[in-house]
Amino acid sequence: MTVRLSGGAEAQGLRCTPGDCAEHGRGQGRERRCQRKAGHGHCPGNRSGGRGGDKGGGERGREGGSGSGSGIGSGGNGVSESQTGAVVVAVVPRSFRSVSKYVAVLALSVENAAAYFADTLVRTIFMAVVIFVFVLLWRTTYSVTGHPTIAGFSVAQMIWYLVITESIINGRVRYWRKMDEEVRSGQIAYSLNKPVNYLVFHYATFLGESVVKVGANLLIGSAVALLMVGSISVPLEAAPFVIASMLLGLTVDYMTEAAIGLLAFWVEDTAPFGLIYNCLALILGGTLLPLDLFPAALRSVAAALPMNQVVYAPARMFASFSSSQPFAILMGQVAWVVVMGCALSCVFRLGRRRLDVNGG
Amino acid sequence: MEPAITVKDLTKTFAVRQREAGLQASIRSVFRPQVSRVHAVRGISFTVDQGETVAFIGPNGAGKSTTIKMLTGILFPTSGEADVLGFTPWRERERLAFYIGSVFGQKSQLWYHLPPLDTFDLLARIYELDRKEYLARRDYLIGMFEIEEFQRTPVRKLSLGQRMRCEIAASLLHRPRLVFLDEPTIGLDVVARQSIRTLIRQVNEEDGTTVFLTSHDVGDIEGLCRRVIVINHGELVLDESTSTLKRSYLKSKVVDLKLASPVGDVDLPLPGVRVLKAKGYGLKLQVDTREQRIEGVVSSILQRFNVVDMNISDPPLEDIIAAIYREAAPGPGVAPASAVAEGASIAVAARAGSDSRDEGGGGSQVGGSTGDKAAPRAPATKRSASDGVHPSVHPSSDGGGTS
Amino acid sequence: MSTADKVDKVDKGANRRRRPDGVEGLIKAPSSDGAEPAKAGLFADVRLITAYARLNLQAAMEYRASFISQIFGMFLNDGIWLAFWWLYFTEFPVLGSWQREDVVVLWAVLATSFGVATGLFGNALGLSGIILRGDLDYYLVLPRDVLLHALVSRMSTSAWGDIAFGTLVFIAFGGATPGRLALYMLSVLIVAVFFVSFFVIVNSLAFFIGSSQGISEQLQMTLVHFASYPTTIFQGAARVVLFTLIPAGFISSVPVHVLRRFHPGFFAALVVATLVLAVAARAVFNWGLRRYESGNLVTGRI
Repeated sequence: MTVRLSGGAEAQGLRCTPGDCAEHGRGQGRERRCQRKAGHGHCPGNRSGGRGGDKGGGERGREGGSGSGSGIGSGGNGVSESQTGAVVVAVVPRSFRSVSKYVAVLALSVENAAAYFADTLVRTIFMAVVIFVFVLLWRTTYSVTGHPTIAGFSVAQMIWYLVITESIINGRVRYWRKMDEEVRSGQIAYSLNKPVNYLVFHYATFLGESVVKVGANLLIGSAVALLMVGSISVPLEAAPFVIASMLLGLTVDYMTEAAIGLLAFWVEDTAPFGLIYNCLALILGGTLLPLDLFPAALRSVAAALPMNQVVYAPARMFASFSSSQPFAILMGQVAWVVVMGCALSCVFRLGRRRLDVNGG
Repeated sequence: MEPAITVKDLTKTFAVRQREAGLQASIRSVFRPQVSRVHAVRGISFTVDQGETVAFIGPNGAGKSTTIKMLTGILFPTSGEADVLGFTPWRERERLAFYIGSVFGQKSQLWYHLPPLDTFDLLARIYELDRKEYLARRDYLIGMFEIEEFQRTPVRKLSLGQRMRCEIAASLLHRPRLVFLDEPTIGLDVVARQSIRTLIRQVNEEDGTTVFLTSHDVGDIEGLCRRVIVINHGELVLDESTSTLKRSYLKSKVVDLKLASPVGDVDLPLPGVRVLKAKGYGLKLQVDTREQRIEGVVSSILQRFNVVDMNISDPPLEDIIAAIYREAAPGPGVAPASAVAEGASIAVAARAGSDSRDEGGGGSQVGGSTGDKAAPRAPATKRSASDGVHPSVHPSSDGGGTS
Repeated sequence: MSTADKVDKVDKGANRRRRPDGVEGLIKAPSSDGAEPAKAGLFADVRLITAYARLNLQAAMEYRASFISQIFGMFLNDGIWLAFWWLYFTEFPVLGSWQREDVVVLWAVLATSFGVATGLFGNALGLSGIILRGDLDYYLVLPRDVLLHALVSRMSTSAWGDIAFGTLVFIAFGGATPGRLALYMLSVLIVAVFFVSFFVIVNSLAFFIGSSQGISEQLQMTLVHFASYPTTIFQGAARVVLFTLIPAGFISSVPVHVLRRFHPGFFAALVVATLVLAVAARAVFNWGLRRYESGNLVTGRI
C-alpha cells in the first residue's frame, strides 16, 4: 500500500527545479535565464515517465491507450519569476561568487518550492491525519499502561517527537531518485562541464526544497499537536541546537540518498536500495517509534546506521531537550556527515571516472 | 442509402468561468462567478453520405474538435440535431461506438510496450468480435497495411510511420462504417504519408467506409478527400468538392525560373505579374491568369532573361486554404478590412452556387444546408469577383503543387 | 436478404432505426429480438477485465527488473508497518481488545484487498487525473461501460507485492484453517470492492471541482491510514467519523468481528456498507460523466 512510500509529491514524480534546465545550464548568470523560463517543458526529470520505483516502467503503455505518453506531472505550472538569485549573483563581488552561487541556488529552490506552497499544504493534510491517529494511538496506549511516562516520554512529548520525525521523513526530498535519473538520462554528463560543484549544487537544491516542505509539515503537525495534546516545555536555548540538528540530519540524508542514486552508474535499478533505505529510516531511524523503546539488541543495530541521525536525533533533542545530550548528538551527526560525505564523494569520483571511460 | 452523417443547426456554447489571478479575485469568483460564453460551434449543418471521404478542416480553435466530439457522442450539444449512422450520438453513444472507429494522431491507442497484435486482440475483446471473423479480418488488415514483419515487435520500437499504420489498422478491425481520423499523418515523412493515404483510400473503396478526416496537411486533403468542409469561428465557411475548390481558386500560376546570370533589379512592367522572389539566380513570379495570359508572360520572360530552367505550377492548396481561413469573418456580420484587402471572396463564391462562379459547376456541393447560410453571410462579405488567391506572405513552398 | 434486413423487419419500437449494414458476421450476430450487437452483459465484462489483466501483466513483465523491484518495494513497505506493530506489541502486549495477532490479520486483509483493488482496477487511484486531462474521451468512443473500462485498463504493479505479502502473512500468522481462509478470501473481495467504490467517489470530485487531485489523494490515503489501525483507539467523535465520512472502521473491524469471531451482524453491516458505497460510486460517477459530456468542466476542457 502506498501509505508511506509514495506520499503526495513522490507519487507525482519529482518537480523540476530551475537549475536543471538542460538548455540553460547552470552557473552564474545563466541561472537568471533559468528562472524565467523554467518550467516543466525544459526539465528532463519530468518528461521521462521514470523507471523503477513506484511508477515503474510501462506507465505510458499501461494506461490502456488513453495516455498520451506525457506521464503524470506534478501539479502547478511555472515558477514565479524572481530576481533574488540574480541579485545575489550580481551584487556580491567576484571573490565570493563561488559561495553565493550555491546560496543563489538554495534561494531559488526555496522560491520554487514556495511557489507551490498552496499545493504543498494540501498534500500536507496527510500530516494532520498521521499525527491525529498517533495521538489517538498513544493516548490509548498510555491509558492502558497506566503510567504517565513511557521511557521518559510523556504523552505530549511522544507526540511532539513524532511531529518532528514525521515532518522530516515526509518533507525531505527523495533525492536518490533524482540522482538516479540524472545518471540514467545522461544529464550528469552535461552538468559536469559547468563551473559548479555538482554535489554541492544538488545539495543546495535539495536543501531549499526540503526546508520548505519540512516547514509546511511542521506547521500542520504542530497545529494538530497543540490542539490535541498541548505544548511541551522546550527551553529557548534549545532552538539553535534543534535547528542545527535538523539541518545536519537532512544533510546526512542527502548524502546517503545521493550516494544511493549514483549507484546507477553500476546497477540497473537502484530502487531496491532506495526503498530499503527508506524503510530502514522508518523503523531503525526512529520515525515510527523512538529508539528508546527498542529492545537493546535492535537499538545497537540502529545506532550503527546513519538513518537515526536524520530523524531520531533532532526529534529526541526537541522532545526532551534537558535529558538528551545536545552536544553529543550534534557531534554524532557531524561525524556522520563527514563519513557519508566521504562516501558520497568516493562514489561520485568513481562514477565520474566510469563516465569518462564510457561516455554519456 | 441513408447518409452517414446528418447535422442540422448543431450548436455548442461553453460556459467558462473567468478566473483571474490573485487571492482577492479568487475569493470574489467563488461568490460571484463571472461566466463567459464561448461559442465554439454556431449552428452548423451538413450531410455526409456513406462512402464519402470528407476533409473537415479549420484553423486551431475553429470548432473542429468540438464538432467531432459531438458527432462521436462525447459532448452534448447546446442545440441542434445530428444523426450518425442512424443514431443520435450523445444519446446512443455506446451503441454507435460499435460502428465507428477513430484515430487520433496525437494520442495512441496501441499499448506502448507490447506488440500491436496484443492491442488488436484487446480491441477484439472490447468490440466483442466473433473470434473467427476477427482473425480473418485481422489478417486481412495486416496484409493490406503490410504490418506482418513487425506485428510482434513492441510498439515502442516501431517507427512513427509503422505505428500509424498499426493505429489505423486497429481502428478498422471491427469494420466500422465510419472512421474519424484526426491528424493521422502528423509527424510522418513524405513516403509514409503517401502510403497511409493510399491505404485509407483503399479501405474507403473496398469496404465503403466513410472517412471523416481532420488534418492540417494539405496533401492529405488532396490525396484522400473528395470533399472539403471548412469551419472557422464555429461556422462553416466552405463546403466544396476538392476539385471545385482547386479549380475555383486557381486564378494564378507560379512561374519559377532559374537564370543564367544573377537577377538584378527586376523590372517587369507587365500587369498581373508579381515578383515573389528575386535572389541570386532564382526568380519566382506570380501571374494572375485573368489579367495576363501565361504565354505572353513566358515569351516576355524569355526575351528579357537568359533562362536555364522554368517551372510553371499552380499555387499550393495551402495558400488557398490559408486565405480561406484568413478570409472568414471573425464573427457574423463583420467584414474585416484586411480580408477585403486580401481579396478573395471565397465565402461568396462558395455559397452563391448559382453565381458567376461557374467553373466548378456550382460551388456548394451540398444543396440546401450551406445555401441557407448564404443569406445572412453574403452581405457581410459581398465583394466583387475574387482577385484570385494571393499567396501567403512568405511563400515557403517552391513550385506549389502537392506537398 | 442480409441478416441486417431480416432483423430490421423484426425491429419495432420508436427508437429502432435502420442499422447500417456490413457488420453482420463480424460483430456477433444480433440476438433474435433484434437487440444491438452483443450488448455487453456480465460475462462480457468479466472477459474484458481478464483481457486487460493479462495485457497489463504482459506489459509490466516487459521490464522484469522494475516489476520485481516494485513488488519488492511494496513488500518492504508493508513489512515495515508489521515491524512497527511487532515492536509495539513487544512493549505493550494489549491495545484495548486487540492483540498482536489481530493487527497482523488486519494488515493481511488490508494489504491483500488493496492489492486486489489496485491490481484489477488500477486506475481507481488516478481517476481524477484521467478526468481532468480529458482522457475519458478515449473510453467514451468505445462501446463499453466507461467507468469499468477506465478502471480496469491499468494495473498497479506493486499491487502484486501487496497481495503476496498479505496472503503470506495471513497464512503464516493468521492461523489459516480452510474455513478461515475461505472467510479471509471472501472478506478480501468485499473490502476490495469497498476500496474501489470509495476511490471512485473521491476521484469523481474532479468532475465538479477542478484540480482536485490533491484532495482526492489525501482522502484516499486517509482511508487507508485510518483502516490500518485498531478500531479501539478511535473513540467518540472520531469513531463516528470512522464509520461515516471515512468509513475505514468497516475495514479495520474485519479481523476482530469476522475472522477472529464471526459476528453475523457486523458482516451484514459490512456487506451493506459495501453495496451502498458501490451504488453511490456508480451514481456519482454517472452524474459527473453527464457533466463531463456537457463540456462544462471547471477546467474548461474544450
